[in-house]
Amino acid sequence: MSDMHDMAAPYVLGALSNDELDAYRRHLDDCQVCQDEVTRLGQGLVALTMSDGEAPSEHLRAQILASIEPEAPPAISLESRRSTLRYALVAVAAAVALIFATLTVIDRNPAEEILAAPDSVSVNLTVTDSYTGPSPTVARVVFSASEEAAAVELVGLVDPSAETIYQLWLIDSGGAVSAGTFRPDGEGTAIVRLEGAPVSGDVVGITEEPSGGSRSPTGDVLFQAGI
Amino acid sequence: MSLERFMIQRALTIETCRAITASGERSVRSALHFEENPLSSAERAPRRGPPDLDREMRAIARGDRAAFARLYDSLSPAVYGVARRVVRSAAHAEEVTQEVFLEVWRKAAEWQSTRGSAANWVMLIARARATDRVRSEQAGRDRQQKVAPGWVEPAGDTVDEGVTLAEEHDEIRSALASLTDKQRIVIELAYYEGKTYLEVAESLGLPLGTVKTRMRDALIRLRESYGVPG
Repeated sequence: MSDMHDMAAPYVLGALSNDELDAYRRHLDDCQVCQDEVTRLGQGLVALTMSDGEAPSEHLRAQILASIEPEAPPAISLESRRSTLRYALVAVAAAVALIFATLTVIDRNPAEEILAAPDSVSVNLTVTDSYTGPSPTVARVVFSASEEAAAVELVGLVDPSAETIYQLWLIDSGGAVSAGTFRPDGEGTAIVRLEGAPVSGDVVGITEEPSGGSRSPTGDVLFQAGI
Repeated sequence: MSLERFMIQRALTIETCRAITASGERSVRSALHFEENPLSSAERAPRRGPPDLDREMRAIARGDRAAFARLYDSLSPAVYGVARRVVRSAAHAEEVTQEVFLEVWRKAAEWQSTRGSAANWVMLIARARATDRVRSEQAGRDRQQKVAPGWVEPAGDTVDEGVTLAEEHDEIRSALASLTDKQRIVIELAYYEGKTYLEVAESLGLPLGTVKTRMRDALIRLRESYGVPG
């Protein structure tokens, strides 16, 4: 086709037919003039769409990031195939990344990982009147949609009495389900991953229960927060 | 358009631009590669400030989820904005946005910098998914109309939304206000309505060359409206 060079504008807008698109892409690979034109005109489309932008809800962000779990890492970039050396390095890096990903899964997401997740959302735990000690300096639930997990972090928590233990609960309209038990360390700090799979909308509660934990809460709720 | 109307729209455009998320301005600048040559950016040392989206796309192709999150933060307002404009309903626009970003994640390795910027590529996926959605919804409505008349959902989520959309519509349109009417219509048909330039030419009764020229002029002007020197 003789007039390939004026296809850049329709190409940038996505307005070529499939046949033309294939032909123009092949042409682009060898035509620096068209590559520059596409870069330049593409900036016009991006400027338009950015200026008309409207932020979607935070909830959507969490949902999307959660649905790109590492089980399906994309293939190696076509770009890197250009250099055999780079290709080899990337392949090694991908293999290493896969091993780490596998190890992480076996490791069952330690609580710190949830705290450090890029999409983690932190909600402060409310201290109820039933908690008699001085208020902790930190009391929060951290939820990561991508890890599908939550952790509590408490600093300055008083020790439960010798026969009792703190117990975590996930509460929804169906009732309370235990999410594990814990004691703070010697300095009153507890960073604990919740058992089970919390979902947005659940309430996290903490009670004091007899050592060994209870099937359903028997003590008063001491801390609580909605995810 | 009267001068007064033009000035109002212009002011709205500026307001709209200011109202985009705090990072909006930086995102626009980075997406446009204001400060750098996109072809050489991959070789640069780790940079501060706004993300270079071409670079992020290469990282995503290697399965880098943090890079994907950064790309999402830069482009999700643009993608959602397009979806919102094309499919109207906020809930459907979110679904389209999700489809777009999952496709980006799956296909990042197919993107090639010689075929346009990463941001351009993402915005073409947005166009494709949003216009697909409109077509399938229309087909679905047609089917439902035959099977169960009266069961058809309204186009928007609620009645109120119609009002909001009407109010928003002027604002949305204003981003195109830097264009002449002739330039604007080809952009609307080709990008937001998903037509090929052949279909645009047919529906406007214009020669193909004229349509391509108008598209090009429009894109250059949109680019200049953000202060990129020609």
